[in-house]
Amino acid sequence: MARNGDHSRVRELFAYMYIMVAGVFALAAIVVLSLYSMQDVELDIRDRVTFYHLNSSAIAQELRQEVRQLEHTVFAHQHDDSDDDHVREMHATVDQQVLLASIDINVGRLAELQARYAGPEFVETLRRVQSRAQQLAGFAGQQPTADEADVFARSFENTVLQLARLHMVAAEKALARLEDSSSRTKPFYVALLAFAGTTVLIVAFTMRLVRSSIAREDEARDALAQSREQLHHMQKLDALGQLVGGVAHDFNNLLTAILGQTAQLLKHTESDRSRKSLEQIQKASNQAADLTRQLLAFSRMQPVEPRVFDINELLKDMDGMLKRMIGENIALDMQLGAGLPGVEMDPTQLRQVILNLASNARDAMPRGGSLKICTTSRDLDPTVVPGLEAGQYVEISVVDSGIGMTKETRERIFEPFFTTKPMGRGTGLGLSTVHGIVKAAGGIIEARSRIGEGAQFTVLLPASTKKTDSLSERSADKPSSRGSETVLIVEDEELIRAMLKEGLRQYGYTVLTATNADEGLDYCAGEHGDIDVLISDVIMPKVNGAEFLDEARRLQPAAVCILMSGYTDTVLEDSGLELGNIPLLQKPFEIDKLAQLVREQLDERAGDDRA
Amino acid sequence: MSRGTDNDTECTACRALLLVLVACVAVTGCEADRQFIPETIIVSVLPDQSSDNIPSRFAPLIDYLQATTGRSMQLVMADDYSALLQSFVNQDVHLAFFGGLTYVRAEEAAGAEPLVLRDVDVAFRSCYVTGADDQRLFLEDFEDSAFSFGPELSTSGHLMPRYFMQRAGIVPEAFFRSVQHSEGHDQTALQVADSVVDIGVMNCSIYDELVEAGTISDREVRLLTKTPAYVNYVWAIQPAIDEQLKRELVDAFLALDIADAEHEAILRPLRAGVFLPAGRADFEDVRRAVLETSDK
Repeated sequence: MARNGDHSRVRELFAYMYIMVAGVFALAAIVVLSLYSMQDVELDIRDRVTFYHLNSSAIAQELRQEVRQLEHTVFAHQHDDSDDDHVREMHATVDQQVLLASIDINVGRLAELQARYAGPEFVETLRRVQSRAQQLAGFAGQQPTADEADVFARSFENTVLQLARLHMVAAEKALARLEDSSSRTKPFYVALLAFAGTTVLIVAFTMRLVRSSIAREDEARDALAQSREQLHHMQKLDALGQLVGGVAHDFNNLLTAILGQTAQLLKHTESDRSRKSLEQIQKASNQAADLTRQLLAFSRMQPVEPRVFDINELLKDMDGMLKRMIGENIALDMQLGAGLPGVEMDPTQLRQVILNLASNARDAMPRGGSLKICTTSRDLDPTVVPGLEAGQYVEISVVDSGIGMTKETRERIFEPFFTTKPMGRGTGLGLSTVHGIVKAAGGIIEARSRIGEGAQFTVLLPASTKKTDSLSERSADKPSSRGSETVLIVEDEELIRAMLKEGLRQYGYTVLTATNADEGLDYCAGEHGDIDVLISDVIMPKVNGAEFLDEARRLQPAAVCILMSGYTDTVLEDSGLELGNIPLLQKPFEIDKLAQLVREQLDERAGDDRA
Repeated sequence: MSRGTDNDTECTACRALLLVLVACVAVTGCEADRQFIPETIIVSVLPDQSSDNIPSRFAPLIDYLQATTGRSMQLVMADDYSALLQSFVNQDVHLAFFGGLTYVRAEEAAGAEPLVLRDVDVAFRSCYVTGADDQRLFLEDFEDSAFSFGPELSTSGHLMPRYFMQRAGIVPEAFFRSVQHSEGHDQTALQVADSVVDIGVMNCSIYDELVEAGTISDREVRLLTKTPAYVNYVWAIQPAIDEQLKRELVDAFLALDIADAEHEAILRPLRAGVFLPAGRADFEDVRRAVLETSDK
């Protein structure tokens, strides 16, 4: 709603601005046009004035000369020495007729010019010129005396001179008026133009501001929508993880029991057929345990052994394995960046990540291609990748030249049980496991791909400032796990309880079992003597494992403690349990492992005692 | 809140627009004053001679103009050049016969509009006169002599002679022994005749008149030389007078014809052959002279 409102307001604003701009341009156009037309009119008046003035002056000048000539001819003919009166008169008449005709023409021209151009100030004077010209014809015929002719001619000349000067003055006035009006109107037009120009500038500037603010708003909105989508996606994956983790935990308990019981049976069974069947059960159960481990990894509940190590070292170790896995028709290209910082996580898990990504790449390139694995270190800005803290990261890119994937696939690719592979070929857990592992390590994984253009998976893992361990350490020979000490097992799950009791007895231990904390405490307080090892499940009804061990240790201060759980220590800590430094054994486990841990703890206690 | 601010902004914009428009109108809108027709047209003339002669010389013209235009007219005399100028600027006088310099001043101060001038005014000259028995032939010979101009505001008696002398490299105050101003052109002639000064400069038209009238004789004074021609004297009118009336007056002046006996009686005392239309451009020489001599 609000967004629609914003848009309509913006649209309205733009409409106003366009109207304003159009108005201003129209105004400017009118101003410019009228300036031009004004100039035209001005030029026109100037031309007319000049033309009229020059013409009239020239004609008047001609007229003056003609009048003077006429005066001379009249005077001359009066003194004509010719004997023959007739000839004399004829001379005079011919000359005078010619001049009179010329004067007539010139007066006519003046009259015509005036009719077209002149104002009322000329009326009177031109009328006199015309009347003089009319009088002239009669006057010349009357044979005037020289004085009479002189006076008449002077008077005529004067009138013509007046007319010429009238033109001069009128021209001067017209030009002065023009100058005056243009000097008056020019500042007005200049002001108008300046005003129009300023308005255009202001409007243009405002429009730019509005546009950029709208663009910024859109960008921010897009970014927000994107991060919301990502958050939504992560929440979905988290919820799935919770669900899967819960199921896997219960399933693990069952598998622990199955594996334990199967192991017991195997030890006691002599029949080959039965052994084979039991081995099949064990194998299937182990596979099932693998599967639950993957599920737990996705839900970040898998037990981990984090260490600081060099990714490049790990990748170099994996080189041969990867080549065998992807086959000969896929070229492996490793570009490992120099001077990478170490990362802190379980190296086994990272191996799992790389193998998963590589196997996916292989499946995307059925006809061969190239697989490129690159590592580099990156300093991240939190705005670049949402959900990641700023700091140094190690980036692993796994790039294939395969068939690529659609947007829909890319969006669901990390969901558990989502697979594009044919029935029976994939579990749909590979990439979701990868996602869980990377996320548990504080990193992020991104997939970039387009149909036909291959795929690129980028893993970002936070760099550790701690010193890196060598991967080839920790391979000391395991000492014998056997012993004769007394062990108390508190476990509410009957199957597991039985399996553990039987298993540890095989290693020579005296095993006591309790179904809950109260029962366990009874043993501790009772007459069974010293208890050397206290093993408890963490999650139990009423009193949990940690609380039980606290109580029990008060009664049996010398006992070593071990906790077992289907959940990881982080999950347990997250739910508010204080585990202290009690070792935690992740279910499902094989009895050997428990026996080994028990032995280690007992030996450690013995060492402390000696010290 | 925000709506109120919007309205305020709009109002400010409107006010700014209005202001600009008003300013534009103010720039263009300085129209001319309203025109008027006075009940009696007050006429005055330049007192370039002893004022006794003047009313009689102009009376026929005034009568003629009254008859032709049908307006009543009254001739008032000014005490001196600056009094005429002052009364024209005060609009106490509507129509005036100015000298070149007084006209230019009246034009500057009150926008005086030229109507007509006499044929002689188109090529007017000033005359240098000296004692009849003085043997010197050129103005340059009169170094260290006593010199007299006409009145200070006189065009022919002061401005133009000074201007032409200046152009010839003569600064009167440095060149002559003494420089004085007379109260009128006839006085200048009389001062020369009485040998009060060695040389004077005056209106040629008045010089001719004085000689004709016998006021001075060629046994007393002698014409030494004349200045180049310039435009002098003009009939000018208040700019606010009705245009139609102005045209009627010009037509009346222009209709005066020397061939007509009645008209000749009007023109003769004014020493005019004919009246010619006058324009502002006619007085460019005088304006230049004013500029150049006022620099000193």
